[in-house]
Amino acid sequence: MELLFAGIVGILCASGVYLLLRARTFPVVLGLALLSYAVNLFIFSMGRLVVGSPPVLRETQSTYADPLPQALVLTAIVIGFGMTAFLVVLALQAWVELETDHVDGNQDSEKRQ
Amino acid sequence: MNAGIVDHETGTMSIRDLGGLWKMMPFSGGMALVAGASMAGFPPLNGFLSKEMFLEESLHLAEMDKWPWIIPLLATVATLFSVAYSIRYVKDVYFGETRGELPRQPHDPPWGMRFPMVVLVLLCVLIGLAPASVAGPLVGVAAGGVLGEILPAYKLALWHGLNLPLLLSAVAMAGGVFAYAQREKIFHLQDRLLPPVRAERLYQSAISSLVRGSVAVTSYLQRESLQRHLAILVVVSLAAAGLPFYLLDWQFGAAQNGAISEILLAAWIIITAGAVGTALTHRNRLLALVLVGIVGLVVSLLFVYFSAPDLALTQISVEVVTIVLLLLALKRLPRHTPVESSRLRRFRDGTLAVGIGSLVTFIVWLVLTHPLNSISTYHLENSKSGGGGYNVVNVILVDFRGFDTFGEIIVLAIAALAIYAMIDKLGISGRWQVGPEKDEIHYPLVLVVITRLLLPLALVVAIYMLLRGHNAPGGGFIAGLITSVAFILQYIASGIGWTQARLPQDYHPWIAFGVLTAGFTGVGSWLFGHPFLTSWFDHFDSPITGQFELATALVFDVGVCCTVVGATLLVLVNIGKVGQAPGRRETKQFQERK
Repeated sequence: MELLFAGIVGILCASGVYLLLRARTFPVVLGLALLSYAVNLFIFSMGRLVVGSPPVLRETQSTYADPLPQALVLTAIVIGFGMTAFLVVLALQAWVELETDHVDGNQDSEKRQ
Repeated sequence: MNAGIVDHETGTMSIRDLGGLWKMMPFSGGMALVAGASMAGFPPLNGFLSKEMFLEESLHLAEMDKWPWIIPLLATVATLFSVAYSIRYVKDVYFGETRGELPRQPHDPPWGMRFPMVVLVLLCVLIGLAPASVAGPLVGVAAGGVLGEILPAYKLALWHGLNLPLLLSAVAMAGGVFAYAQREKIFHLQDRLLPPVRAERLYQSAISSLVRGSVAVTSYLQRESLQRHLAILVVVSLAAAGLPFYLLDWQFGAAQNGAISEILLAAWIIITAGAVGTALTHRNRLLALVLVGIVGLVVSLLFVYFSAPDLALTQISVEVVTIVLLLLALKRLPRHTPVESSRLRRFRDGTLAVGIGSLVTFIVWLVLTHPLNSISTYHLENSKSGGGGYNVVNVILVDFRGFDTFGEIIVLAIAALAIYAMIDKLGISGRWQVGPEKDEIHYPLVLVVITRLLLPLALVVAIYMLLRGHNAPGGGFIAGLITSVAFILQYIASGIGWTQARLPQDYHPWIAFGVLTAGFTGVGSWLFGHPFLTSWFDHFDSPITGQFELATALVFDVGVCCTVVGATLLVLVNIGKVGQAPGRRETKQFQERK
């Protein structure tokens, strides 16, 4: 079970990094979205994987999943939205002002390297 | 300070040009005499005290195996030289004969410059005479701050009796006087043995080579290419995260759960297909976006499965908002990505990605096999008694770590305002108007009807989530996101013109109200003598509902909720306006017509 979960985080990471290295803004935004799923799952799993015992106190329940990473990740998800939105607006601004959506603001930079 | 005054008054810093200043600057000379004596370590000044302690500690260090005498010897020689240079400073500058013409005619400085000197010299004398009462408290505080624990026993006194440090001190004193007397020979020796070195030139050349080196590195790394930067970043993090496994010992823990649940397997398959699919089909941007949405959905299902209902609710509502955001962006950006990168570059990026993915998989797997030693037992035990809530995640957010949450909603608010400012700067949002031609778009009737019916229902769910958040999955973040989604649906289904005529036009007040409410809830606890954001709760009876609980945490959560609603809607509605704004060509025509 652990390996399977670790594999999910790893695949999300790999796809995210690949998209992060693309030359246009939109794939980079998608890559960051995938990467933030990976990071959120990573931090969440540091509280270990527990099935069927949410950290909501009940008399019939004696063990609980670790609430601390959950609280951390909850705000991280919301802030992640803020970050994505900021990036999207930057991309839009670059597109409007530079008339290209290349990440360097210059389509020729690829050839120069 | 005294040397600075001499420089100020005479215009030179070269000790070889100075002399006999006593006649012109008796006050500064007197101060220099006392301060110099203290620096040289003459009793009963504070310099004597610190020198004694310095020598005594050097004797403690002498418990080394090899060369036990080396540290005390070096300490004594250092003291000897400080005696010699103190004598030289006072004697050569203020006594003896006036040597040649000075750039300026010196006299004692104004009182503004004398005063600091007097304070320090007085301290020298006072600390020397009564060390324990003058410097004792300060030393205690400073040493306590450094050590962070109970201080070892120590004694501050001028006279420690006849002991070895005193003997060393006397040797240094005599040696210092002798060294001063023989200074010409020492200078001669120095000239013969050591090449003429100027500290200033050394410093300058070190700095300039440092600057040259960093310019070279920067111009190599920064070639105005984000891709190159990110690739370097990925390589470095790969090395930094991987190297410890090569250098250090590590092993898998015992906590292995061999059983493979079908649910997790299904999640693995869908996420793998979605993530890899996104990477492969990213040129078709809409398809890639749909695939990202699927991945996000399954991630929220994973949270449900692994006992995190709050996270699942947050993830799924953020997912909706994010997809709407990216769809709005796609409305303006090109729908397809051209093929640009060479095959080699794609192979390189793919290799890097697989490397990072494998390393992360390995690290997560390794950690998960080790048992957890968490600090959250405290939160679980005190959630009900201290925070008054059964939902520990929510109690952490609004109570235990309330200050963090407060900071986070402020970050969200700032991000939203920055986005608003940027869109405003684009100059498009101002020109955007609801014209009759825009309303000619036919919105699908079924969607319009359903969303309008859903709005009150969704708002009720949001309020329900907000109220129950303290004791069951829910809370301010989730309630805020559900409200945003409900409003956004109206914009999508009925168009921005119709919706803005009926819903609040301006979302800034929501953000302000939210942050201020959360902040004042925190300040409110000061009135009762508690630290910022201490929550309070009590139980009340009501004939209709029975017993219910009221907590200040709920007010805080209302603040969180309003901030989230304000921030998400401010962002989405304004990006939506960019989407509907006239294109660049039309904008130019618009300007020309003006």
